[in-house]
Order: sequence, then structure tokens, then C-alpha cells
Amino acid sequence: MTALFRRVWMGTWRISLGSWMLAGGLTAADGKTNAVVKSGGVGASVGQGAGVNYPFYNKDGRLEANLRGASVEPIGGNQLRFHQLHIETFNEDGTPNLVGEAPDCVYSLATKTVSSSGPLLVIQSSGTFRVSGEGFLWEQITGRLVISNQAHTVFRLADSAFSRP
Amino acid sequence: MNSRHAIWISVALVAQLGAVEPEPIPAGEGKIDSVSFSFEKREGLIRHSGNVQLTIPGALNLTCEDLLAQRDASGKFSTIVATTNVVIQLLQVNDSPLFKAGSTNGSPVDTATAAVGSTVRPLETNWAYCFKAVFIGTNNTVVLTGSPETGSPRVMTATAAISAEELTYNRTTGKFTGSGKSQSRFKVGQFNLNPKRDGSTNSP
Repeated sequence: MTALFRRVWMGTWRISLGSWMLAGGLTAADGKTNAVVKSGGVGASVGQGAGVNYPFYNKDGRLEANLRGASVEPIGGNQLRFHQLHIETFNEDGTPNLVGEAPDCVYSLATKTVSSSGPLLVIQSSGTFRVSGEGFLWEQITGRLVISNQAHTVFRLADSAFSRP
Repeated sequence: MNSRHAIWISVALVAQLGAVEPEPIPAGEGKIDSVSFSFEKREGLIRHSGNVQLTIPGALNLTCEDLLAQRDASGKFSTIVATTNVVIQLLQVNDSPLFKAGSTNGSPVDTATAAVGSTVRPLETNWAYCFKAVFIGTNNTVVLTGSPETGSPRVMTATAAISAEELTYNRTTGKFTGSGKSQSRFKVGQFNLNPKRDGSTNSP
């Protein structure tokens, strides 16, 4: 299926992600946060190369998250493998919320999840906390993040419940 | 280099790596180590599970099996719940009174009968053991409760040990209160119970 949409662009093989997703008949499981990838939008394409972007917009057109990889490749089963993933999530007012980095992970177009058995580092944009660990699952629709092993959180006391009364 | 040398070098490298000290916690920060972590954006829930170790250098060490924090709409923690084998090491860095008045069984009162008039000394370490510890943000208190398996929650200081069916630590006042059946133990020597003939006391 994906081969149908391959085309040469800027000297690299790229895939029109929007068309690919539409061809896959993807719909969000939750109507309230119906995420739509805008084909033709900023960086709405994947392929080999640096700075490949994969933005998520909600039904109102607000940018909710952006996945960026050094390279992205389809691996079958409605899945994309991201190398050197850099993910950003945004608050409702458009300000950055979380920034995450993972050297290798898989994005499922069917379930709209990012997962990996490898390491993950997540930093809250304002510096309130940072979390790292091995093996993770991030659900794009719900914003749920699970780190399975060796979870380490470092938090700023001034912003926590543990600051002195 | 033969294979035996390579093996020994590998062992030495592994030993070196294993001996690396944990990364120090920067000033003004705390850390939580656990087996797993989850964050529920919609509910504002943050959970650490499995061998949880919370460390605030110079102030607090907490271990438990499950630590669940809930943030309100403003991003502040409304509740933090630690459960199962909760051990809290509280390092008091001020001299605010920890214990105030006497205790009776029944309605919530100050529990530390034995420690009337005593204060927590600077840098004194206090320990708390319980099944569940609940931090409530609205009144800045920590409520300790037990379980049938673990018994009543208890707090131990250098000079006293107290237990009650429920212990509440007010972080604003630094005072413990308890409710239900309570018990206190203390070191007699800290009180001026045996005045000597010359008028001096046996207090430390």
C-alpha cells in the first residue's frame, strides 16, 4: 500500500503521510480529541532524512503534539519506526508542555501510540520535572504516558507539594 | 591479548561501572526512583509504583510501594498518597515544636503526652511507619493510617515514640495530632522528674 504513495522529493524517498493515513482509514477512538494529521501541513510527511516532522492537531486545528525524527520508516502493520525521536506536546494555550526524547521507538497509526523497549527522557518545558526510564508507552489521544522500568523523576521543590510550608 | 585477558578487562570495566556513585541531586530538587511511572494527563495523576524511593536531600526520605499524586487544574498537587510499607524519614531542620499538649484517647488531640514541652531539635531525625500516608494540599497535612496487617501508624523521634489509630501531621505548625487509641513512650531522662538536693535536675 505504501509503495503507491512513494515519490521522489528533494532527492529522498518520502511518503505522503496524510494520504497514507487516509488510505489506512484511520480514525481517532475518542471523538473529543479526534486527532487529524493535516496532509500538506507543515512537515506532514515522513521519510528518510533529518527533521522529519509528524504533527498532531485536534479537531479544532490546535497543535497538540509534534513528533520529529532523524529518520522515519514504515515497518508494516500500520506502524512507523522513528529514530532519534524528539516529541513535543503543547498546552491548550499553545505553550510547550512536555519534551521527550527516545533513540528508537515505534508509532502505531492504528492505536495512535508511541512505544519502545528502550530509554525515554521527558522534560517538562518549564523545568518543573524530568522523568526517565526504560520501556515506555505514550497514548497520543489520552496523553497517558507509562514508563515500565527504572523510572527516575527529578522535580523542582519550589513547584512541588514538598516545598516548605 | 588473549581471551582470558579480555575477560578480566571486561570484568574490571563492569566492576568500575557498577561502582559509579548515583548522580547527586541538585540543590532545590528532589527525586523519585521506582520500578514504573505513569502520567494521566486528563486526570492529572502521576503514579510511581514498585520500590518507590522519594528523596529530598536534607529534609525527607520516603519509601513505599505505590505513590500516587494528583494535580489540580492549576497544576498544584491536591493529594499525594503513599501506600504499602510506608517509611518516612523526616529530618527536622528547624526547632519548631513538634509536640504540644497532652493526649487522651478518643477525639483528635495532641498525642504526645510524654513529650509535653519538648521540641524537635535542629537536625533531629524522626521516623514514621504506616500503611498509608496521605498528603492533603488544602490544609497542608499528612494523615498516617495503618492496616490490620501492619497495625497502627507510629512516629519515632530521638526522645519519644507515639502511635494512634490515625496520626495527622500539620506541616504548617509542625504538630502531630492523633485520634483513636493512642500510645506514647518516652525517655524519662528528658524531664525534670528527679530534682537533686542541690536544686539541679537530671535533665540532659
